[in-house]
Amino acid sequence: MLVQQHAAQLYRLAAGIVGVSDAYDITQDTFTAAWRQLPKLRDPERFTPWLRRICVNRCRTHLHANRSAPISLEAGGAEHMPGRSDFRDAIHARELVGPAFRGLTADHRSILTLHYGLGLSISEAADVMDVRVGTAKSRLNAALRAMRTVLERGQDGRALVDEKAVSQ
Amino acid sequence: MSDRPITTTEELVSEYLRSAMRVDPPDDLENGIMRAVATAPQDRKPILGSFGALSPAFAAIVVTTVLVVAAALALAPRNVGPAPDPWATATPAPSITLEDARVLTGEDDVIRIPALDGEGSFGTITIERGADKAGYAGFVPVAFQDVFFIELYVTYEPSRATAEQFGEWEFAFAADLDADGFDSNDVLQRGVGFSGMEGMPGFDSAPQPLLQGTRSGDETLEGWLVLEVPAVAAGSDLYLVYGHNEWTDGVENLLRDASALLRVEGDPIGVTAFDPDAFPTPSGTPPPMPTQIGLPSPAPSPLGSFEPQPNDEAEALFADTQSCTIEEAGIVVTFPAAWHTNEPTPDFPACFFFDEEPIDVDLALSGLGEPPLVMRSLATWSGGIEEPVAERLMLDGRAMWRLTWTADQQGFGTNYLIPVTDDAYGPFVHASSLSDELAVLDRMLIRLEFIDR
Repeated sequence: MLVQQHAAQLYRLAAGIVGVSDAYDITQDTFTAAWRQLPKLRDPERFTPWLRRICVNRCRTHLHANRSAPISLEAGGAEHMPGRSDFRDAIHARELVGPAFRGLTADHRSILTLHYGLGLSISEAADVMDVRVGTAKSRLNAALRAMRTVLERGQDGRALVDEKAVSQ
Repeated sequence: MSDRPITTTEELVSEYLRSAMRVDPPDDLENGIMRAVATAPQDRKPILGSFGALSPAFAAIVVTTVLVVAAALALAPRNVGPAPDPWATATPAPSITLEDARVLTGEDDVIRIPALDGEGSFGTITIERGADKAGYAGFVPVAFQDVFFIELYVTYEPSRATAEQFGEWEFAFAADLDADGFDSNDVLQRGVGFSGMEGMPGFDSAPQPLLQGTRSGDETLEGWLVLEVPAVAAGSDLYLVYGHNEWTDGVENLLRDASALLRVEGDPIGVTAFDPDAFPTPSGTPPPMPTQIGLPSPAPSPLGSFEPQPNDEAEALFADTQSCTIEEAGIVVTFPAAWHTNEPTPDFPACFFFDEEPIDVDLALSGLGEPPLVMRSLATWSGGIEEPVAERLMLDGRAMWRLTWTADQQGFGTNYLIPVTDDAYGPFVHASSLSDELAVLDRMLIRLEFIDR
């Protein structure tokens, strides 16, 4: 049954983008919208990405409606972050990832969640977001850059993380 | 994910997201979804054949919806007037008594009813009657149903917390169309209108704020509940029903709980309902559009003639052409000689896909590699015809629709619906472009040949 098959994954997708407190409503709204728009789905084989797209759009709408200022790439974007005595400490950095993520724009949260959270390829994420692959790549890079901007800066300007490549 | 090394930021983001998404959905999520879906209107008629494959559950919902619509249509004349005989045996009709003069027949009328959960009343629901409306700018109801809208402002004020969900899905309306008492074939529709249609055409014109979603606990919930009422219901008394959690118990129980009288038979509608019969007209003259008292009506679409946009590259392709026939629609399709179409398969008829590359039907069937252009015979259109995404254009004496959905509307590019006969509701030739090949499709359209006409 479709609801059983997709509800949990969509709930987790919504939890990743908007947070768990609003994931229930988003998931419910996604299915309601899908039901309403079902006649517009020409290709049933594409139901899953279509459903994810609705979910992501619902998340974006939700975030727009409840938006706070997104992270600025300019200096000072991390002013709301708590100070740390040792910003190189990865544990401390992890503590800042959540606030940093919640400061991203809806599009940046979405692309990160689809790619790193749900494990979709760039191409699949682009399909869900209904953008070209190149657009998805640039959004992903911009989202990571925004995250890094916060994570690399503390109140005193010291680096939170070293941006080094690690083995996968 | 690629094989390249990931950066520290990527690692932290991945770790964070995996943690954030490692959550178990609430136990009632699926039931909540089913309740929400069951109470959501789908005012575009679905095609069973296309969506039955999705799942038996969805197919069942679709079937149920179609049966309700079919029942309404079978019973309903196009406009207010004598009703035909019911096509099914009526069940014993419950008597409806409205206590405490629950009347919402006039604008600004107000009633208060108890908000109920399994333990009894958990607060008060105040319902205030707004104005009737024929429609909203940019929103054209789907064909085959004349409708008007009744707006109610609903306020839930809990006096204690409730564990159950409450909201717009608890409401419905009913009319005894065949005047023999309420039975399971009477028009009965739940909270409808714009709620849940964010992003859809016309939503911005809907009353704001809308009563949306569900709440529980002791939260106050208020907003407009917009009822989309078939015009035929104006020939009968119309009731608002507060159904709480009893929707599955049958129409009799719903009506026993009738909460307010919305209209009395014979009351003037106050608006002129949308009449799809007159729209579009074969002669190409602008159709009569909804009119209403003191309220704006949707503007009629101009009926322009269809002209492909200039495109030298596409034009050059048509210097040398080939053709194929869509037998079911009785049309000959002319397309560039350098392009390809498909041979018939069990899944697709001939002359269905068009691409500059050879057609791989298996790939198309998988949904992963659909060719850019599709042309098919379609008995009827289920997707709704809404402004401003819909334009009416004349193509060789036929009033066709051009429907353009954007990415925000989860749509699929540009679509044309070309009536094959004089019947404005189908059958159609449905032509669509998913990609940048619209210029080619447009040139194929102006070369269509209708064999039987």
